Amino acid sequence: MTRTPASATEKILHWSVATAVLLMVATGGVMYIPSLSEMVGQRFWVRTVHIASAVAFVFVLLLIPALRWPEIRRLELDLSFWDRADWDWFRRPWDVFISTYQPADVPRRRFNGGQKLLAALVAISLALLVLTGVPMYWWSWFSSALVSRARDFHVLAAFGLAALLAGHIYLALLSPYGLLQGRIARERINR
Amino acid sequence: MSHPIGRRLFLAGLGAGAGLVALGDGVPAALRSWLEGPLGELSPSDGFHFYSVTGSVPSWDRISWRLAVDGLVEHPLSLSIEDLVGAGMRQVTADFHCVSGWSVAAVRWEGVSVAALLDQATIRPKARALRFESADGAYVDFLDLSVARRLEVIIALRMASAPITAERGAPARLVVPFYYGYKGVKWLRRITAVEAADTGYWEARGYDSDARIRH
Repeated sequence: MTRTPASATEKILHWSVATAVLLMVATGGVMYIPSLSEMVGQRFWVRTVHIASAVAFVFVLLLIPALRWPEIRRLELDLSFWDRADWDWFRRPWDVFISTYQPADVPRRRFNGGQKLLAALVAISLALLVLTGVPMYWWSWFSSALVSRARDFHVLAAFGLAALLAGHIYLALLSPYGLLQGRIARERINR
Repeated sequence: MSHPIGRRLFLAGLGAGAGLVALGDGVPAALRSWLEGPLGELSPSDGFHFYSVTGSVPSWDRISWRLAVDGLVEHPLSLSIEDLVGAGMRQVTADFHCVSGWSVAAVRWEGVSVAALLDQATIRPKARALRFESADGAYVDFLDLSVARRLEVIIALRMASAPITAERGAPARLVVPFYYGYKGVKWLRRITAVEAADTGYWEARGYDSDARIRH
């Protein structure tokens, strides 16, 4: 696999989305989990930060492609298209879990199958969270049954997203090219 | 040979999710309990989520606690728990709906009707609405007098056959079963008869002033 560093645009996109998502997860957790709700209180402010983060997230997703469409288009193609080699990641779950998975050396590949799957599932979760957030925010425009269904799927998508993020952070830190092992490898090379 | 599997997966997932939200019957109960069950303490035990707009639950003691009924009334009241119980307890069973989409089915409340307290205090003709004030020092809400006089509108002291807990608004909270939960002022300490309804806490922050549950 060719190691291609992320461009500045990709880094800005990743970290601005990550910041907004982490704020939404944190404030959503405070609103949903009773013990955290009791500890923090301040429902209005917690809700305001949650909604402002969602608005910022949507704004970033509109602004960056508008400014850097060719780069974003290339990133979307890299993440969307799968070929035979991508299935290799799914055939070796234990290697992935214990962070010894090394992708096959296929030229001009930036992402493995796991990263592509993560991107699709995170995109589905975030799109559903935004979509279901609309009737939850403008509740007076919708029936209570629809708001209730939207809220159920909002919670479901949030649980799913939290699990995906946990896996993403675990592998981002510990995979051979991850933040921790990657740094250790660089230090070894430097010595 | 490569295929845009990621794009297809995204479109299929989004389409299925949107379709189920628009037309489906919510997340099936089994799936919900499978998701929430293992989280134990993270999930609300009685179905209620905790809402407070301040940083703490107001403390109170049974000896000194009083509910004030004042404003445009002939006889201002200062009522203890025993006074409220003595005014005649009623039972109201209703589904509780929050605007953010969660509900608790068939919640049994026991308390005294607001109408009974208004009769004791004797409302003046100029009064058209009631202001309900929470002991948290921030939360207020209003009801038109005609709504507040309906017999199912109560000051609840008990919930599910037990005294209301601190998290649910002890010792007394307003229950308006045909409105969304944000009208049910918790930790109630004062009812004031006023000439007209003003905006409540959430209405001043963008909520619709019509709190009727949309079935």
